[in-house]
Amino acid sequence: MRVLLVEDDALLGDGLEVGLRQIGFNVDWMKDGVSARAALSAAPYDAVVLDLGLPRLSGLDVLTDWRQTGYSVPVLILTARDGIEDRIRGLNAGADDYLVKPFALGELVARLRALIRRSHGRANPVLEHGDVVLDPQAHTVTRNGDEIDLTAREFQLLELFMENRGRVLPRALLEEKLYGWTQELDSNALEVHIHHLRKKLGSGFIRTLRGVGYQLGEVDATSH
Amino acid sequence: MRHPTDVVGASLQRRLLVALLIALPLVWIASAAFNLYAAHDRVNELFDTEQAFFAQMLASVNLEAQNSGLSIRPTSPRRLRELFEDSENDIDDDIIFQLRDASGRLVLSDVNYTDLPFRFDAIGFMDERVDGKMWRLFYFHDEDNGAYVMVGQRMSSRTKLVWRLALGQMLPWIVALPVLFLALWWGVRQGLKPLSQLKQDLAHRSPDNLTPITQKVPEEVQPLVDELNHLFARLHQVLSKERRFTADAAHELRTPLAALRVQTEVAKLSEDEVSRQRALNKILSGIDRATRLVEQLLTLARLDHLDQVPDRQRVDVMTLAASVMLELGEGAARRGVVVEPIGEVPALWIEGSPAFLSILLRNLIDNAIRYTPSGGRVWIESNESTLTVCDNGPGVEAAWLERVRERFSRPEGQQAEGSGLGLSIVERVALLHGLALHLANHPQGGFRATLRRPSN
Repeated sequence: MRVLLVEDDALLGDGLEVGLRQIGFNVDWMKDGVSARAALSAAPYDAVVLDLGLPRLSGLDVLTDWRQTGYSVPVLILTARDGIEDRIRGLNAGADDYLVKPFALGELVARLRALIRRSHGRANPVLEHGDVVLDPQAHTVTRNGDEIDLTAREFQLLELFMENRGRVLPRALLEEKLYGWTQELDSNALEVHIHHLRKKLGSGFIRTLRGVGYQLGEVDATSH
Repeated sequence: MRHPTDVVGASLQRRLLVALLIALPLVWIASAAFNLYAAHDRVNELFDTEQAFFAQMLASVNLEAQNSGLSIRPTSPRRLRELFEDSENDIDDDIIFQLRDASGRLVLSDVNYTDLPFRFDAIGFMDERVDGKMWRLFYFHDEDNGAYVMVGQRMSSRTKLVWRLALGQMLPWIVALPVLFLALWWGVRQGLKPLSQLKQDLAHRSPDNLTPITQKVPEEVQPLVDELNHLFARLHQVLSKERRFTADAAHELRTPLAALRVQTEVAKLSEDEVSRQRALNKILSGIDRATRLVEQLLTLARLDHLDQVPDRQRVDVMTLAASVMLELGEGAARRGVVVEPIGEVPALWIEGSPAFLSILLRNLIDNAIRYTPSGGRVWIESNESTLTVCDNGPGVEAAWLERVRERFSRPEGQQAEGSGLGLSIVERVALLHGLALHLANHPQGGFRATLRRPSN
C-alpha cells in the first residue's frame, strides 16, 4: 500500500514515515502544501495522511484542490485544533476521516486500513482467496490454517493481489505501489518476489499475462 | 429586567413631554396676560373717545330751549353697538351724563341719574370711586355758551368687555393645547422609533456577531452608533487575535506531543537496534524542544503577571549583550553563523532588571542566529539611545512583520525550529522597561530589531 504523508513538523513527519514503513506501508513524505498538491498525480496512492496546518498552502486548500480535480483517494486529516469547526470544515472539503493530535500510531494505521478497505468496497478486514487468508492488521498469512512465512515485500505484494481480485495489475503499477521515490529497485526484483510467492502458495496462485501484467489465479487452481 | 435602551428611550420621551407640558401653559399665560393688557388699552381708548365725543355733542345743545330737569336718554353711538352687539344693554345702561349751564344749574341728565359730584374746575378724564364703585368721568366746559358737561361710565362694564375680548382670543388656544400635545407625543414617538428598533437589534444580536450596525438612525444618534461600530471593530480584532492565539497554541503544544508519541511507538516497533536508537534520539530532541517551549511559556506567564520591573537597578545593556553574544557564539559557529563580538563601545544604561533584560537580549540574538543561514553573521549596532540586533539573513516577509510579535505566530514554511514565543517575550520585557521595540527588514537584506531607550 502506498501512502502519501503530508506533515510539516520534522519530528512528527519522521516518526510517521518510519513507523508506517515498519508496519508495511510504502510512504512518501511531503513537507509543504504546494509539493503535496503536485504529488498526488505522480503516483498511484492508496491513501493520504494530511496535516491541516501546512506552510505555503493549507491542507484544506490542498484537499479542496484534489477533490475538484477529481481524485477520490481516501484522505485522513491530522489536526492540532480541538475545535469541532476545523474537523467539520475538513470533512466538508472531502476528507474521509480525521485524527486530533496527539494520536496513537496504531489508531492511525487502523483508520488508514479501514479507509483503504472501504475504498475497495470491502467491509471484512481479512482478505480471503480460496484457502489463503491474509490479515493486514495482524500481518499474517495462513493457508488451511497453517501460517506461511513471508518477507515484508512478499506480504505487500500478496496484499496488493488479494485487494485487487479479478483485476489485471500491470507491472508498472505493482512497482509503483511497492516502491517509494526514494527506494531503488533492480529490474527483475518484482519477478523474484512473484517467484517466491508462487513457491510458497502454489504455481497457479498468480497468473502471468504476458505483456499485460499479473493477476490472481482461479480459486480451483490454487488448491491443487 | 429592563434594558438600558428602554429606560433612556422612555425617559427621553417623558422628559420632552413634561418640558412641553410646563412650557406650553406658561407661554399661554404670558400670551393671555398680553392679550388682556392690549384689550384693556384698546377698550379704554375707544370708550374715552366716545365719552369725549358725547360730551362735545351735549355741550352744543341749546340750553335755553330745554326745560329744566328734563332727562333724555342718550343712545350709544352706533359704531359701539355694532362692535359689541350682544352686550348692547350693559353698555347703554352704564353711560351717565350731566349738563349744567354757566350758573351750575343742572340742565340735562340721563334717566338713571346718578348722584355724582360735579366738579366745575375739572377738565378731561379722571377715575373716581363713588359708593364703592369705580367710575371713569369726563369733564368738559364750553367757553362759548358756558355749558359744563360730565360724561361718565362704570369701570366694571369696561372690565367685563376687556375680559370678553381677551377670552375670545384665548379660547382657540385652550382647544389647540391638547391637540398640540398629542401631535408632539406622536412626533416624539415616531422620532424615537429607530432607537427602539436598534435596541431590538442589539438585544437579539449573538455575541459572535460583531458586524457594524447599518440601520438608519436619527442624525443625533448616529455618533453613538458610529462609536458602537468602532467598538465592534476593535472587539473583533481582539477576539480574532485571541482565537488565533488559542489555535496556534493548540498546534504548538499538540504537535510536539504527537511527534513524541509516534516516535516512542516507532522505538517500540523497531526490530533492530539501529532504528530503535534512531527513534530514541528523535525522542530526546523532541523532549528538548518541548522543554524549551514550556520554559518560554513559563517565562511569558511570569512576565504577564508583572506590572513593574522587580529588582530595578542601573544596567549597562551593552555589557549584558556582549556576554550573551559570547555565550551564544559557540553554538552559532557550529551552525556556520558568525556572531561578531562587541568591541569598545560606550555603555548604554537602562533602569531595569538584569535578569529580564538578559532574557530579552538572549531571545533577540538567538532569533537572529536561528533565522540566519550558514555563512551569515549576526552583530550589534548601538548609539546613545538605541541597541540594534542585526543579521544578514533573509529577513521577515513584510506581511508578517506586524504579526511576529503575537504569541505562537510564526511565518509559515520555517525550516528553523522555534516556538513563536521569543519575540512575544522580548516585547513584553521591553514594555515593562518602557523600551520601544522596532522590527524591520534592512533595505540591503537582513533583519533589524531595535530597542530604543525612553528619551528623558
